[in-house]
Amino acid sequence: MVDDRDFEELLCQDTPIPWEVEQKTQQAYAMIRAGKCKMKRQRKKHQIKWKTVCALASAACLLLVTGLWAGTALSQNSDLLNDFTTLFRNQVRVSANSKDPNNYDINNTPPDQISFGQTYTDDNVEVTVEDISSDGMKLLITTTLRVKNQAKKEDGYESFTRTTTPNGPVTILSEYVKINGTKIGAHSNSVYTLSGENTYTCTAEYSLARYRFTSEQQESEQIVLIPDNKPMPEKLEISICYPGFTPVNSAKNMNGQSDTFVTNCVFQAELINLQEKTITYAYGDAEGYYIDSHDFDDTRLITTPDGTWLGYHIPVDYPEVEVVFTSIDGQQIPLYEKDIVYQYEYQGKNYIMIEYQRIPQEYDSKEIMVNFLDSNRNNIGGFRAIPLTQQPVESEQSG
Amino acid sequence: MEQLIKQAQQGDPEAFIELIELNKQSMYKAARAILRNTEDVADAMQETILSCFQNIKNLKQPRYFKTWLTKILINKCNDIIRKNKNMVLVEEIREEGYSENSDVKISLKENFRSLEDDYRIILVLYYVHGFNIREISQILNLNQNTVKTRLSRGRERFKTAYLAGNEEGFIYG
Repeated sequence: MVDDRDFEELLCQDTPIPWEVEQKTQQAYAMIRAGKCKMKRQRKKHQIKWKTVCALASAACLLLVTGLWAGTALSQNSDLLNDFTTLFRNQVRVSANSKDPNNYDINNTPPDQISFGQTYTDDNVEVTVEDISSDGMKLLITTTLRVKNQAKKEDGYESFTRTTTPNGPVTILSEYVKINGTKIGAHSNSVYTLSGENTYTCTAEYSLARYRFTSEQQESEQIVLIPDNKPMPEKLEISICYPGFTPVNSAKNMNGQSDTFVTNCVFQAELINLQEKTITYAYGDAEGYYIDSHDFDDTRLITTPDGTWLGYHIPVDYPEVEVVFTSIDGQQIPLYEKDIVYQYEYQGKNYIMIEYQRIPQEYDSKEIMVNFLDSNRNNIGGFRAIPLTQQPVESEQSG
Repeated sequence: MEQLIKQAQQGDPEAFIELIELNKQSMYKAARAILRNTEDVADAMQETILSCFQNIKNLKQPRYFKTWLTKILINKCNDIIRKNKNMVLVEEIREEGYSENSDVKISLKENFRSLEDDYRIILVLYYVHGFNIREISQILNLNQNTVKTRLSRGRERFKTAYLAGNEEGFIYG
C-alpha cells in the first residue's frame, strides 16, 4: 500500500532541476547582483483612526449625496444596511438609445426605453413601462416599446418587451424620466416629438450598490460598477461593493497590461498611485482601519497587521450566507465543486471567501452575477464580475 | 535562515540568493506541481525571485518567509496559467521515459503527475515543503477543512491510480 512514507520518499527526493529553470534562476541572480533589480523602499503603513475615517467618509458622502437623494425613507431595507445608507446615496441610471423608429430593427436596437407606469407617444413611437417592482431587494423593470411600422403590423405598431433586472438590494428614492435629456412630467398622456436618434432615460435614485445601466449603441445593455468620483478605468476585472460592511478593498493587475483597480466604497479617493503601480487599500475592523499598499503583483496578498494572509475575503454580518452564481440572464451557474465559497470566522467576524478561478471555464469571458442570499434565501446583495476582456461602456447620459 | 532573511532585508543580495538556493528545490517542485511546461516553471521561478527580492523589505515577520515566498510563487504560476489558458498545453508526463522504464519511482511519479492540480499542489506543499494544514490554507486561500479533504483525497486518488497501474504490471517494492 502507499502510505505517507511513500509520499515523502517520492516527493522529497531531490529532483534534477532542468537547465531552463537553472538558467533563468541564474539570470535573476545576475540581475540582483548587478543592481538591475532594486529593492523597493519599505512602504509606510499608516493607521487611521476610526473617527478620521468617518469624517473622511462623511465628507465624501456629502459630495455623493448632493443632487442625488430625494430623501425618501429607506423603508424596505433591513437595519444592517442603514449604516451604509447614511453614508452613501447612489444612483441607478437606466438609459437607452433608439434609432429612428421608422428604421427600428429589433435585432439591432434593443428596446430599452424606460418609464414608470406611463406611456409616452409621438407619431412614431410609444413607450410604456409595463411594470416596475421592488421587493426591497430586487428591482424589476418591464418595458414595452411600440414602434410604428406600417409595413409590419396591421395596427401600425410593432411591440417589443424587455425586462431589466438590476442586481442587488434596491430601494428607490426617486425616479424620473428624460427624453433626449429633457426631464418630462409624470403625465400619462404627454406627447413628445421625436426625430432621429432618441434617448430615453429613466433615472432612479436608490440607496445601495452603485450601478450604472446603460446601452452601448446597438448592443444590449451593460452594467458596470463605477466609482462616481473616479474616471472610468480602462478595464474592470472584478468589482466588489458590498455595502454596510467593513470594506475590504482589493485590486489586481492580472496580466500586467493595464492598471486595473477595483475598490470598495469608503476609501476610493486618491488611494492609488498608478505611476508606481502601487495599489493602496484599506482593511480593518471595528477598532480601526489600516491603510497599506502593495505592488500590483502582490495585491492578492492582502495581509492583516500580524502578517496573516486573508486573500480575497468579503466580510459579512451573517453567520450563514449562501452565494449563488448566475449568468447575466439569471440562469444559475452550476458549480463543479461546492468549495468555491468558504465561510469562516476571523477575529470574531464572519467572512466569505470566493475562489473566482473555480467558476466554470465556460464563463471565463462572460459577466456573471454573484448573489448573496440570507438564510431565508432573500437576496442581500452581491456584485457583478466583469471579465478582463470586456470593456466597460460609458454612459451616454448624465442622469 | 532568519539571520539570512534579516540580511536580505537589509539589502544583502548574496544573503537573498542563498535563501533562494536553500528553497530552490522546493520552489521547483511546487511550481512543477502547478505548471506542466518547463519554460513556464522557469519563468515563474525567475519572476518570483525578482519580485521577492524587490519586496522582501515589506515582509513583516521573517518567520513567514517561506510561506510568503511560496504564496508569491503560486500566484506567479496562476498568472501564467491565466495567460496561457487559450493555449493548448502539451503534456510532458511522458518526457522522462514512460513505458520503457519500469522503475518504481518513475511509475509513482507518473501516477503523481496524473493527479489533478488541486491535489498535486497540496501534496507537494505538505510533503515537500512541510507546511502544515493551516499554512497551506493560508497559501492557497483555502479553508482548512478543504485542505484536509484534498490532502486525503489526493492520497486516495494517488493510491487508486497506483493500484490500477500495479494491476497492469507495475511493481512496487
